[in-house]
Amino acid sequence: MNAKKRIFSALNGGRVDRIPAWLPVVPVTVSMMEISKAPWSGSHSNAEQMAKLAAMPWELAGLPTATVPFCLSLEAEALGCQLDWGTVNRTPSVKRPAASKPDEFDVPENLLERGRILTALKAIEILAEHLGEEIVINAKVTGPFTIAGHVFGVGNLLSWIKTNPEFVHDAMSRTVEVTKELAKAFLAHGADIVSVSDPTSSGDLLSGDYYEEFVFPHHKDVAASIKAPSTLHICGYTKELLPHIRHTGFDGFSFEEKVDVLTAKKILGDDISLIGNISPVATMLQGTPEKVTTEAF
Amino acid sequence: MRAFTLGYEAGKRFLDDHEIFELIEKGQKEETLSQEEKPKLTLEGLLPETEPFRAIAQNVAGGDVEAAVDLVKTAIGNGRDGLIVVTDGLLKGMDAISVLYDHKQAYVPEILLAAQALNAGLRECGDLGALESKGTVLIHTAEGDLHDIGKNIVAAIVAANGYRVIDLGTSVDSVRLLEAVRENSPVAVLGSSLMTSTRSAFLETADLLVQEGIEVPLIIGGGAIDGAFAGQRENMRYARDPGELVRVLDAIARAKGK
Repeated sequence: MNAKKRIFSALNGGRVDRIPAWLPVVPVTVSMMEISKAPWSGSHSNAEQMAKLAAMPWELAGLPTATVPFCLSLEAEALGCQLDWGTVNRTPSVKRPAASKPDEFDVPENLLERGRILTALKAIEILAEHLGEEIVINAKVTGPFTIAGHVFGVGNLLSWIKTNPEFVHDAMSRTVEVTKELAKAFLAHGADIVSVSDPTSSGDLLSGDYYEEFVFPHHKDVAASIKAPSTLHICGYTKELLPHIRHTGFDGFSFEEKVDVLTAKKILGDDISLIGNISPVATMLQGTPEKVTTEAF
Repeated sequence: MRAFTLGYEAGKRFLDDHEIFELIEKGQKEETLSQEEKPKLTLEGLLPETEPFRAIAQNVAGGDVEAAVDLVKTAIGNGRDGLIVVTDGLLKGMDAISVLYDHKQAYVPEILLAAQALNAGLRECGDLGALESKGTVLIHTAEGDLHDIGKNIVAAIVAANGYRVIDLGTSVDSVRLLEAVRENSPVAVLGSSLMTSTRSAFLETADLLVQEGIEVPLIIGGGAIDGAFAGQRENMRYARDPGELVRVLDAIARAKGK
C-alpha cells in the first residue's frame, strides 16, 4: 500500500496497513526554507518557490503530502483586505478588513486573477506534475466563516450574531462562494484533496447552536461542491460542534487535542475520519520522537 | 493511551473490543465527573438583588447597549452616585456574563456585546477617577499577533473585576511594553498569543523585564500558550481562561497589598 493510497483509504474509512502520517495544514519550517532556497517572502508570491518549499516535508522528512498555500490570507488579500506579511517564522495575516457591512462587499468576477491566487494555482500544477504520482497534492482553502471574519472584521461578525443575524447570513452567502470557487479551481489545476480550514468557526468562539445556525449549512454546501476527497480543519475546542460536523459531508475532520479522540469518535461515529489530535506544540515542537509515536499509536 | 481511529483492517483492529469498552467506560466516568463539577448556572442567580442595579446588570450581561445606557441615565438622573452605578450595576453585569462564559454557558458574541454595553454605560457615569481599583494591569498581544478579540474579552472581564486596564493594543514589541511598564507600575502584564509563531515574543519580554530589574509577572494565555510554555521563565505564568486569570491577579494584588 503506497502512501497516497493509504491516505485516501483512511479518509474514506477503509482499510489501511498502518496509520498514515498526514496532515491537511502547513508543515514547513525555517530550515526547509533555507535548504530549498525558497525564502518565506518569495514562497508566497512565486509559484516555483511555493512549490519547492511545499515539497520539502516530503523530500526532507518523507511526509507524503505537499500543501499550498501557506497562509489563510490568500482569499482575504484577493478580496481587498490589507495584509501584514509576517516574518521568516510567521505567516502573513490580515491587518485590516475590506468592508464594514455585507452589502459593501461582492465577490469580484475575476476572483481567480486577483492577489496571489494564480501563483497558488500554478504551484499546485507544478507539484502535481512532479510529485502527483507519489504523494497527495493538497490544496488548502479558507473556510467561509474565517473569510467573513477577515473581510468584515471578526468583532463585527461575532457581534452581528446577536445584533444582526441577517448580516451574518448575508456575509456567509457571499464568502461561501469564494471557498467553493477556490476549491474548484485548485482541483482543476491538479490537486488531489481539498482541505478547508475554518479556524474562526471554533468552539472557542461559537456555541454549537451558533455553529449550526450560521456556519453548518455553508460547510455542508462547500463539502457537497468538492468533487474530490475533502477535509475540514477547525482549531481549538470543537466538542460542541462535533454533532453537526458529523453531517457536513467532509471526508475527514482535523481537530486539536482540546477534545480527546475517544469523545470525538463517539460523537462522529463512522461518518467522518478523524485527523490530527496530537498537540503541534506540546508534542511535536517541544516533545520527543518517542512522545510523538506514543500519542500517534 | 491515544488511539488514532481512522480506518481498520478487516479482522485486525487497532484496539480489541475489551480495550475499547474499557476506554469508553473511562471516558463516560470522566464526562459524568466533569458535568458534576460544573452545575448549570442561571444569569438571574448571578445578578445583584436590588434595583436599579439588577436591571442595569441584566442589560449589560444581555448586551442590550441602549437599555443599559437608558437605565444608567435614569439612575444618575434620580441622584444615584455614578461610582455606585458602576460598581454595583455595570460591573456586576459584566462579571455575571463572564462567569457564564467560564462555564461555557455564554460565548464570545455575548461577551463582546456585554463589553459594548459596559463601555457605553461607563461613559454616562461621569468622572470615575475616584473608582477604587485593585491595581493597574497592562494588556497586549504578542508582537506579530493581530488577533485582538481574546485580548478585548479578557480586558473587559479584568476591568469588571476591579482592575484599571491599560490596553496597549495588538502586536506590541517588548521595548514599547517596557516603556509602558515603567510609566504605569502595573501589578501584572497580560499577554495573549493565538499563533505559535508569535509566542516567543513573551520569552523576550520576560527576559527584558528581568534584565531591567523590574519585578512584575507576565501572565499569558491564548490558543498558542500552555503551562509548559509559560513555565520556561520564572516571571511568566499561564492562565487558561479569564476566570483563572482573575483569581491569579487577585492573589498577586493581595500579596502586594500586604
